[in-house]
Amino acid sequence: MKKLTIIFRRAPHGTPHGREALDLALLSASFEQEVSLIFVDEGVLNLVKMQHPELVGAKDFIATFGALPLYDVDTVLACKTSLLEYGLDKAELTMKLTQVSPAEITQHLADADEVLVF
Amino acid sequence: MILHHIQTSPAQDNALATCLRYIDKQDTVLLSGNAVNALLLNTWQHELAQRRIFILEEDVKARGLTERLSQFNFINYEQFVQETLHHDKVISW
Repeated sequence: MKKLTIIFRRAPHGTPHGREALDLALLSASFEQEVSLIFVDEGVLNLVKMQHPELVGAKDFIATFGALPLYDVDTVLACKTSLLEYGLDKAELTMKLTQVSPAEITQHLADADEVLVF
Repeated sequence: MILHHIQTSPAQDNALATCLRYIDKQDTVLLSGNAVNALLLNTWQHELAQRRIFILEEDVKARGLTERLSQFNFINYEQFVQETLHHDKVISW
């Protein structure tokens, strides 16, 4: 059983990275891997509530973030500094997560067995 | 100890900046592909000054930057593979 950390560093919808990262997270979790997600930089925009990507023909994978608890993915972190930069530190986000400092993220990266960046 | 691998130029993508926000002091940064161009700019030279950095020799030669980047540590592909083995893991940003 591996501790797999998936980092979301890109904004949703502009590229397929966000959807691919979430697919990998759910798939790995269903294979009993210990999966954790970290949202950093522009990746925090995945967390904005009330997105309507279908309006621009993009697949709505944002709703699928709701499935994470069903897959036992309970470690969901977001970089406090990035949230502040994008004015999301006080905002209501798409899911329950823990706001952490960059230093805590550094520690988390050290503890993980594998880290994949999307 | 983690080997952070950056393959895109800062002018093209935020990978290097993001990596530097979460990197540990004793980790290593490997710049390959267009990422080697970052070291031509003094902003990035300062950012990376106290870091352990490697740049991929083949990519530097391909871009004719061997003299301009001569003060940095070059490694070739074989050494790159060795480095990945010396580190606990590689993170490709």
